[in-house]
Amino acid sequence: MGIAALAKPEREKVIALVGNPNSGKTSIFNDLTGARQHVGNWPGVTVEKKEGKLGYQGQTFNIVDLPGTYSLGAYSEDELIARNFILFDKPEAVINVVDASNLERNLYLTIQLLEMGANVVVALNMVDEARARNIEINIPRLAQALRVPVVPTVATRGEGIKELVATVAKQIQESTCRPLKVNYGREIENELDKLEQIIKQDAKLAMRYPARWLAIKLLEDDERLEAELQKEGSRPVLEAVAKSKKQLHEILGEEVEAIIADRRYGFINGLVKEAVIRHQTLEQRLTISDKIDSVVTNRYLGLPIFLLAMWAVFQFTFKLGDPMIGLVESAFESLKGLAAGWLEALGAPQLLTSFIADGIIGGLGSVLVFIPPIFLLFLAISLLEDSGYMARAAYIMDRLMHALGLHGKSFVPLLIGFGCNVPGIMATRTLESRQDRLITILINPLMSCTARLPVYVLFTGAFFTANQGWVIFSLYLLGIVLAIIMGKIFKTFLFKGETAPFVMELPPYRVPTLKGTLIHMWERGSSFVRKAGTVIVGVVVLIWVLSNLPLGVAYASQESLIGRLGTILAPVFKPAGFGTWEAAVALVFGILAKEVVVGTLGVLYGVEENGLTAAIAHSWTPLSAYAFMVMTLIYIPCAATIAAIRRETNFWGWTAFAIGYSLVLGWVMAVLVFQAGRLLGLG
Amino acid sequence: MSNGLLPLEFLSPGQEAVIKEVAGGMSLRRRLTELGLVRGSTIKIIRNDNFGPIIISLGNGTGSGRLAIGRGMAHKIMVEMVKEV
Repeated sequence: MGIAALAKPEREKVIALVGNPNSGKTSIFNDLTGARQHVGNWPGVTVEKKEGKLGYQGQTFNIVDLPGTYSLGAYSEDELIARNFILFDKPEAVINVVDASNLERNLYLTIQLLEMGANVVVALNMVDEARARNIEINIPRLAQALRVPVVPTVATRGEGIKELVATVAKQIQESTCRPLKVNYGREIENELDKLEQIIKQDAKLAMRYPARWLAIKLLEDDERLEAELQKEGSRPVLEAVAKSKKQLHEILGEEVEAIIADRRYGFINGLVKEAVIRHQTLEQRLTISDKIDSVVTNRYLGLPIFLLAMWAVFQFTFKLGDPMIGLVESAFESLKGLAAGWLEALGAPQLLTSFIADGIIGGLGSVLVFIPPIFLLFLAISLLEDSGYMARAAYIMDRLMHALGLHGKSFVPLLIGFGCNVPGIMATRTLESRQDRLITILINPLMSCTARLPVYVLFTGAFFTANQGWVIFSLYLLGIVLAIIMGKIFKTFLFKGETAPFVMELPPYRVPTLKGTLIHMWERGSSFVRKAGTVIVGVVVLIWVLSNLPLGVAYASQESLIGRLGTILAPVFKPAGFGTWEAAVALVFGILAKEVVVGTLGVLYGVEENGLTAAIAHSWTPLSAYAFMVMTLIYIPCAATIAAIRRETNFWGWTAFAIGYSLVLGWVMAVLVFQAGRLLGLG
Repeated sequence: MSNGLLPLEFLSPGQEAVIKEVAGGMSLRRRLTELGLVRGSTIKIIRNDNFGPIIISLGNGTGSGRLAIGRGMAHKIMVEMVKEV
């Protein structure tokens, strides 16, 4: 027990992590915090907030991982979050992760950080890769030019992390930060000086923002700040800005914003010229990444390779996941038995026993069986993402997705949806445009997930044994066609306006690290379990209550509330050919999870699952069975998907819309199928 | 075609060019600026299949940065060729 331990603990210091996507920021975060991470949400938005703790010489630092951005404007949610955190939460230090092999572009963000007066330490990451490309960086020179410490790191191997931590700790103590000044040229500088003076006279503004930074941003047409100033009534500042802009436009003959960007890059180019030596090899050879790309993105080979990769992902997920699903099922089965036996032994009332065993444990089990495939799918996706292949997949699919009015990036979430809509919806996070993201989320439930398969197998087994495969295939195809049509409709009527331009980075291929990939998988998988869990429990309890009330009825019989509900709903489905109370109840239960439809029909017809085929063949027709399968495919997403939609859109309105439109569409399609079939004499 | 400007879209793999003008709105320009595509930056075409997005590299190809640019966007970026293949 040293003296340090007796000293009064200081307030926890905050270190923010900022960097471009693909700069290795996540690796640095993992290196700094290890397993001590916490994932939450930024207030009011869907962007994830990752925090972690770092212990160093008796102090604890709170590390906040800000969203990966290329810039600190206010043009996306991510940028705004990062910018506001630095401005208003005032972290004691900011670690700016910079990709050494891509210095110019990365420094664009660094300059903006420095202009904000942040206490920056640059982690010059991937120095090994830069070296391999014959890029030699004079680190002291770079540090001198930026006037902040620069620490070389190789985050994937943990190199330089100790030095980084020591440097940051020292920087926090000394806290000698002098905002860097990029010279924007005489004309702009003159106006900046004027604006700075006017801003400083506005006490409220001057307290909130660094004056020079605000002046620059206002000249850059930052709508967000303009709106704020308008609201706060900072008229003199706004008027001065408008005057400056007009004057500069006259002198320079161009948008001020463009010139400011040019000067910034000019500053960076000068800096890079001084601090970086690029040894030119005699011949500019293609990098290894380019060589892989020449095969993987080839106009003829690209698509087959992509399909092969996806096939492999599905095989991996479901071949490996199936036995584990069995394990989870039997685990819940025995848990149910144990709980029931234990409660009965305690003399608990029958109703309570049923509530816990059938309701909570049974209901949760029916949804949680998806955990193994979800985790495996996330593992596979993490591997594809961390290796750099995902960006190529988007590139390949962009050509096809354009027909949909969507980006190549939207394809991957839709494809994942065939496995399970929940990770499919979560995978939309990689989409930058909110419109594209919402459309992709809304049409995702139309991708026929594996949970619908048991329903198809049951009904095709009863009626379409000769061409079972084709009938099932037709349902998958129907889902895709409807997704294309609905996507077009949403795009046209709900989300007018231009498509965001397609530009995206193709990061060099890398061998993913085991640690990074596992952390990735864990974050996504566990957040699904936690967040979806609450909604699922709610639905489970509701359905159980409806199945048991009024008191004394047999579980889920026609006399129970749910049975009565089924009886009321049945006529609605009459035009679709399955107007029985059993079918209606099965559909209601199907909201819990689509494959529950099968089990419910088993309970309602009072037969075990193997006797079900015969029972169905007896009371359905091939046409009504097909209409019912169409309904099962389209109507209301399952509880877990609803939870995912709510979580990812962060808005009940869109969730309700997804439920509503799919219900209407499902009913219309089922009726169309049945009535058209009857007209053709198939009924 | 020494001093002429042409859209990035028409360049072939291996060719290097300097960006001279972006004929798009401010939002397009902002996005490109963030990614390092501003006036005066040198780029090299890595891949152009004449349909679908174009892959380019920033600088003369020594750096690791590769960008995929949609065809519509590539049409609006005017460049001056500096190196033929």
